[in-house]
Amino acid sequence: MAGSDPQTPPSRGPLARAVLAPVLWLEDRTGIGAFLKPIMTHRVPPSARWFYVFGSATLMFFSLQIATGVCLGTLYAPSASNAYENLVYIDTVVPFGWMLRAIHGWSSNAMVAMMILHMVQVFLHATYKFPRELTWIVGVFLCLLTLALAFTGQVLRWDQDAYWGIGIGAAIADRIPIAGNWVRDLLLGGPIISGETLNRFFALHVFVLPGITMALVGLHLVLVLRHGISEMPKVGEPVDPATYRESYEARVHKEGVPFWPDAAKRDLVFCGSMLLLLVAVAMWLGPIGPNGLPDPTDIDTNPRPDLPFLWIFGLVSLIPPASETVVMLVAPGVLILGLVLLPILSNGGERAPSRRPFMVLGVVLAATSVGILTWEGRESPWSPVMDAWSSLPTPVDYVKDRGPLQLQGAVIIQNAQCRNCHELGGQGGKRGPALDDVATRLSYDQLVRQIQQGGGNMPAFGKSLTSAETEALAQFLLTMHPANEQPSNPPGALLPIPPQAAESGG
Amino acid sequence: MKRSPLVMVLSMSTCVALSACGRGALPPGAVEAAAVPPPGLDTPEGVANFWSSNCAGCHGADGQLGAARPLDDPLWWRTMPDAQVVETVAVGLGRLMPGFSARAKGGPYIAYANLGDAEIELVVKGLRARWGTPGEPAAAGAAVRLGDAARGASVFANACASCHANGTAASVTDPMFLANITDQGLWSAVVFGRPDLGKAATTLSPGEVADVVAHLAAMRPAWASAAALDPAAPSKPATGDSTP
Ligand code: HEC
Ligand code: HEC
Ligand code: HEC
Repeated sequence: MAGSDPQTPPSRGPLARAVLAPVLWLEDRTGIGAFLKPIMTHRVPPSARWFYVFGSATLMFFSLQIATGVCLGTLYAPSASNAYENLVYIDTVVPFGWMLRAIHGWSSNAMVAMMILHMVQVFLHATYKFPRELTWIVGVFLCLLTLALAFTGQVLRWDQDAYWGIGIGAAIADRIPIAGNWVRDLLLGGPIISGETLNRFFALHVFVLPGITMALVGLHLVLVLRHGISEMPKVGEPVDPATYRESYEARVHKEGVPFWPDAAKRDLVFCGSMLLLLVAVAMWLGPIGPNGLPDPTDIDTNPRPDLPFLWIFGLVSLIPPASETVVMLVAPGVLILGLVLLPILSNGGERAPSRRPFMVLGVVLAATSVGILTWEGRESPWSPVMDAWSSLPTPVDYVKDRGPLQLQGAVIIQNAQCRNCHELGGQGGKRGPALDDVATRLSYDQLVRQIQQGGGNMPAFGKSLTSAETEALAQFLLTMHPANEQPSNPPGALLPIPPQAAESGG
Repeated sequence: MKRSPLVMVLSMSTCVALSACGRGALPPGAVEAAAVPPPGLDTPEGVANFWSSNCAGCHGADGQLGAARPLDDPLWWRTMPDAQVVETVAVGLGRLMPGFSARAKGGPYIAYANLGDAEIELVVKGLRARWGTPGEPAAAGAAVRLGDAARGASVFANACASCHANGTAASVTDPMFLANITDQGLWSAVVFGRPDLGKAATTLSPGEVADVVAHLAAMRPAWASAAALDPAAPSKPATGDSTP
């Protein structure tokens, strides 16, 4: 490390001079050293100790993501039909390709973890108060971007887990008032999850999101340097925007230590250990996914979104359908707005956690709920079955004694992937209720409504099915009642269809 | 003292890197998986597996008693040339039968196994060996011909109406039913029947079949014309509803 010490004067033997000459030339022409020196040696409060390493670790994992991501970009092709084989190829044929995928996958989780620790630390120590409000606000957006990167990345695996991740994402988008369908179409590249969807997420994951993230990381760092690293909060030393800057400058000038090497060495040690841990985890646990080989006999696979999103999965499975729009759309909006406004609403006053008991309570509450919901998301029994549509036969009893139109409905149950979520004859997904006796619960009108408008975590099929297909589906579902029980709306096997109904589909 | 953590970190990473090399080029757990290759499409087991993952959902676990027509039907195989079956499996038929090759576009599902034509040919050969009779028929046998709709109406009244009365669940003249089925599907339903559901193959002459199919096709609502049902038509199935 001695060679990089900018204080070493260019002296000593001819060898050292020969080595240094190009370095000095570069420095003379670019001024990089002169630019970096004040940054590296800027004074930081001596109280900035181990608590402060999480931000650097997040940055390190982000850099690692870019490095490994670029490598993966040379190997991966966003093709819905080949994504699976592509990943198997990277895992088994490309030398150490599996390690590359493992590191990229686990480092993504590590980056989310470090970012959350960093955010919690900043929150608990109220570092977001004057003058670091904007640093925090940029941080909130970086947090969202990191989660978006993790989410789009998991989709690129294009396996069963990915499918359910997008399913939930699309369900949330669908709830946006007025523009919902449009946002979903924009996200999925159409009304349904298809090959187009993969292309969209590929573009987001490798171009759009990393670009914005890098720009915001730069801004975040500029702001950190501009306002200096905060001190550990002390009880009885509240932030007063009128005097804070001056007293901070004075203290740091008097007692401060240079960032390099005094504070940086803690970052180095922590990042180094985290890197080692990451390599060890990647090595022993291997790459994440692709889960769910195209094996239809294995209907017990249990697709789950990746760890950072498990809690959303758990939440969605717990809440009653009536509150979904509020929980899935309004709550995140309010939460994000609250985080953004936080430093503006409270930019002075006590920073010490012991003087802000409600804030501490909030963190504890949030951590416990996310923990419990993550557990719930892991345990909840609603496994959707991704290839049910083509592999699980319609129960023979539901084929016998059905009319031609009703049999078409049975085909559409398969083709429209209803069985990925709904059981028939005990086989199929468990996301929605089994449909075996649905006619005892719903009338013809209610069936058509449910199919066209979805709702309660079921996608709307109004746009992807023709009116004739919806009719066939409803007619088949109307036969779904035990022989001894009457359907809830018994107008005869076939409702008269007004001739205009055919045209209205056009 | 000042450098020791760095030295430690460096030496530890060397150890980890070395042991990672020791693991070889396969991820943990991949070795066992790679040791048992699945049976290929040129074996009966391979084709049977392919059937249960891709076709059983609609055509039945054993090729009959599914929601869509049975393929365990020797008469059907005696009439259908391989090339036509391959094409149907590759690009699909109408809006309800999905295509399984890379040439098929825009089905409402994630197709894992986008096959090449050579693989589909293997599948079709395997299915013929399982359910058909050896030897391939001449291409002309299965070509759908539309006859005279007016004559078809009287054929229908004589040969079909007894089982398929209008306005009942068994109706085949319901415009909604006709909007969902291709001419090919109508033709197969008449010619081969549904032996698994107790409907025998037809005794009508080819001309009468052509007439009755034309009669049914003529009752299909205009927005669901044969062209709209054609999977090769430009409109994607998912957006077919919006075609006027
Ligand atoms: C002996 C009674 C009987 C007669 C006669 C009969 N069918 Fe059928 N048809 C059936 C049965 C049984 C089915 C299969 C069960 C179902 O779809 O409801 C069927 C199914 C069909 C289907 C639907 C096939 C599918 O894939 O959905 C069509 C179309 C059809 N018949 C047309 C005709 C035509 C045209 C005629 C006259 C040439 C005819 N049928 C004569 C009994 C009959
Ligand atoms: C992404 C998963 C998913 C898919 C795909 C799906 N559903 Fe649903 N469905 C659900 C859920 C979840 C519910 C429960 C809604 C509620 O609680 O309000 C539901 C409810 C229903 C109901 C009402 C059942 C009852 O007992 O109240 C019907 C009928 C239904 N779905 C039919 C269909 C049909 C037909 C399709 C295919 C076109 C389909 N579903 C596709 C998830 C799904
Ligand atoms: C989502 C349901 C579905 C799946 C899965 C499916 N099919 Fe079909 N298939 C249908 C329907 C419905 C028809 C009739 C379409 C029509 O005539 O409009 C059909 C028609 C066919 C036909 C033409 C029959 C004729 O009379 O000409 C063949 C051949 C066929 N399917 C083979 C297959 C094979 C092989 C597979 C598996 C690779 C398969 N299908 C998977 C629904 C399905």
